[in-house]
Amino acid sequence: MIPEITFTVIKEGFGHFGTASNNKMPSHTDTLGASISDDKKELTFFARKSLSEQVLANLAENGRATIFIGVASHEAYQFKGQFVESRPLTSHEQELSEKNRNNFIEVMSGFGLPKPAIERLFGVEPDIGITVRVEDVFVQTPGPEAGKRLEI
Amino acid sequence: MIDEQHLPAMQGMFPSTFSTCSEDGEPNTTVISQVWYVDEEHVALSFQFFSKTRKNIAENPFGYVTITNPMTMDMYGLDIEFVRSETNGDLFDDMDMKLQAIASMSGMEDVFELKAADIYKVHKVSEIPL
Repeated sequence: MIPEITFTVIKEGFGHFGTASNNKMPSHTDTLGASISDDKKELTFFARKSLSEQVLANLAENGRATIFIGVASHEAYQFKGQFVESRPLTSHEQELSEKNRNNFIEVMSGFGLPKPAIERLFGVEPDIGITVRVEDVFVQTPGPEAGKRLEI
Repeated sequence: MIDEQHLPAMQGMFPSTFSTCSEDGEPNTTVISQVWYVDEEHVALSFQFFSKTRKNIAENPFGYVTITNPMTMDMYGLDIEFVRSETNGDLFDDMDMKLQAIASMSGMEDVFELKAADIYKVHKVSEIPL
């Protein structure tokens, strides 16, 4: 089961979904929130299909996934696992994404970045969910614990 | 290859995302403070922590890094290949100074430490159409 300590970062964090092709060329896309399955074993990451073409192609051939999610305090985790499916998002997931994106727009505006620019990415609804069965979780917060594997 | 339009995305104002892949096909993705302009065909990435990224690059030198202009959110993807590490010299000193400034702004002075400036050849720059 995905450790509960990571749930807040999963819900509020800014994520990057990484993959690799069969010839070992990596690629990634930004995620716009995520949902946790009822059995706490899978995560579905919200993304924009138009920005995820290479990632989806890689998942179709290799299937391995790695997702870095962090928040402004630098707390971050890395999730590794196996691609399960890509699918349309539910209305509940769209609500989760909207909350996540609005939070990120506020945080980034607070750092002095122009809101219209931030909204080019975070103001747009995601149109695909990419589900991963999580096999490993690592601490990625900079510091002595970085790289530590969490019990799942 | 790297030209004027990409430089605002390489100022360290907005973190960059860096993906690598191990020899057995396992990807790894992390966030780095800055992608440093070296010349129009090379960039430098800060090596701060011994990590999966570092291990992967030793096994497979190819990586993918995205950079973002914080004022416009224009994003670019760079296909890169590791060339060498530098642990002293002007580039290392410049990167070290900038990293300390970023660390100081984000309260991470005791955590961020530049171990090397890793030089990568840029094979391709693609605009990510938002």
